[in-house]
Amino acid sequence: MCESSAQSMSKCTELTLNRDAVIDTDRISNLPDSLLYHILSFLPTKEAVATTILSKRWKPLWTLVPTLDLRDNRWEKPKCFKYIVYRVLALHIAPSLRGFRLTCHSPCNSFHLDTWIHAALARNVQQLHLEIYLDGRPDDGHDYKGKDFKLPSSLYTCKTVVVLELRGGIFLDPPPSFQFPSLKILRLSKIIYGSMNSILTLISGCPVLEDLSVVRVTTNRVISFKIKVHTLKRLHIGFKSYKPEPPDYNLEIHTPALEYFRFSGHLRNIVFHEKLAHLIEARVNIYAPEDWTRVYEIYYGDRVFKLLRALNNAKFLSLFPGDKECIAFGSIYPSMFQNVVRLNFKVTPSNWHVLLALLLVAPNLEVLDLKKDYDNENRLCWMELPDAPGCLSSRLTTFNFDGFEKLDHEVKFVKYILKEARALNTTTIKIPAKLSKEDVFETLSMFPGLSTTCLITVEKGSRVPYAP
Amino acid sequence: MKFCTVKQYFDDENNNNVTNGIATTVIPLPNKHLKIKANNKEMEQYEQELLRNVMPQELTKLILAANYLNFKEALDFFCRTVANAIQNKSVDYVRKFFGLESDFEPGEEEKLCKEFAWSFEGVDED
Repeated sequence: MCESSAQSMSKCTELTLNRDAVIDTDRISNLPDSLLYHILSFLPTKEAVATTILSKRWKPLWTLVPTLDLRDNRWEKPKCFKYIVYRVLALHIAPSLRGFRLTCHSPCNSFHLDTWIHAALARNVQQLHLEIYLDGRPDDGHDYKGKDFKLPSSLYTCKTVVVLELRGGIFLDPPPSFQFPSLKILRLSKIIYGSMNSILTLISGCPVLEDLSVVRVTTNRVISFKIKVHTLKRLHIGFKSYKPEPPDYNLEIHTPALEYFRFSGHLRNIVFHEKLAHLIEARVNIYAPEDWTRVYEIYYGDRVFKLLRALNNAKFLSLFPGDKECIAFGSIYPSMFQNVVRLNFKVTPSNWHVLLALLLVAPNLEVLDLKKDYDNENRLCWMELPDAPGCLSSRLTTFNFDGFEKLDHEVKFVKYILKEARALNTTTIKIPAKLSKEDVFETLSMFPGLSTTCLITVEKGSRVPYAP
Repeated sequence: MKFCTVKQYFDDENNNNVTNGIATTVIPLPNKHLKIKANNKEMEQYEQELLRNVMPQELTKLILAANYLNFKEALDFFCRTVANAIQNKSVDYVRKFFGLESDFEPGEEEKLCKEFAWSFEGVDED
């Protein structure tokens, strides 16, 4: 009875539901096959295969799920993984693959990997995710120093791939003229490149690329590369380094259609060649700890402001300019941030002046969200608040400060905002456990010029790691 | 764009099983989704909260509704939730969750168990 109604339903994915089905629609397994495949497609293949034992109807379902997610974690028996993958590929009969994910953390022979990737390509795979370490994944926090897996050349002729993600010990060396005609999303994380032009060659062959993420580990040499994609809407650049003094790099970006920009890591030379007229959101998290005293520090302020100026069209800006004392401050002028309505900023004693510079040039700001790192309370902080009135956005309605510790400069700043933001209607101050809510509230309520229409809330906040 | 099928749904008389209760859950989703699309964490929290109040049976209806309305994000979300609910769980747990009973011939189930033993490793306690 269950089965027959399920079968008649499996003919239709749209809704002209069989009346019989109404009685049993409470049970998930009475969904049509197509929707069961969809559910199973969110499981790692190992789990999907396990459903074979549920009942007669479920027995063959995993073989037709249009995705394969094969994971080999280091702590499982590595010898089995090869057999399992070959077995799965032999039994799995879905004619085309929406997604193929292969995560290999144990040592593996590249012959097998080639075979498995070929199998995916042969089934017109659309989303391909590869994470490979031929000599085994190193423990967390360490650089992979083993052999690199050279991608099979058949990958470079794949016409169907829409999403490509490569991580780990993978060697990328695209042939000079190749095309990924369907590729929209490309994610490259800590892989090795054949030459400085590899990225440019790769993305030149992607006529419809919309979303690019490149995270590089800096090496000993100076890196120079270009990102030139006129269709690109989303860009994430990351520079990680395992050395205390990462070398210089030069990055040229030509992305006039960009809507979302994210940067994380060490900041060196980034030049935007076209104005980002369509930029909606920018997230910048610069890694620059306080205790470095190297030659790059002299230009640090200039670099920060140069990058900010390029992002001045953003509506939503999320910024942590690093925690470094600036010797040369640079300037945000003459750029104005006319469109910014929301600013998330992580403050340290070294970078308050960057925040203040931004506030002066953001006349339409509506929401200001500050987060503070608790560890930096003992340093001297330079802050010069504007004397003249009317410097702060007249549209500021919401102000949040997470990490308020009643330090002098913080009190000064909060006082300034509460007084100058004439449209302010909500303020939330989060304090650490050691302070008392009542005490802080009393301090705040004694500020002159407080608006009577502003709701001020003082809460105990837990320390939240900043994730731009 | 997301609502081209909504009008059709309300006009269509065969939709007794996609009740109004479900519609009130699914339809506000796009607005909320668009509003906090920029922040993935918030979306996750919202979705977790939403689902704490929904029984497994309701999920079936939500999935069907999302499928009918062609609302991809909601469909993916509800399906992913079902997948998360059964991930790493024992066969008995999953059978109970889906309201299933084993209908295998004697011995068939043991054979399958042996054949795919590797897929049953690492399961949570019920």
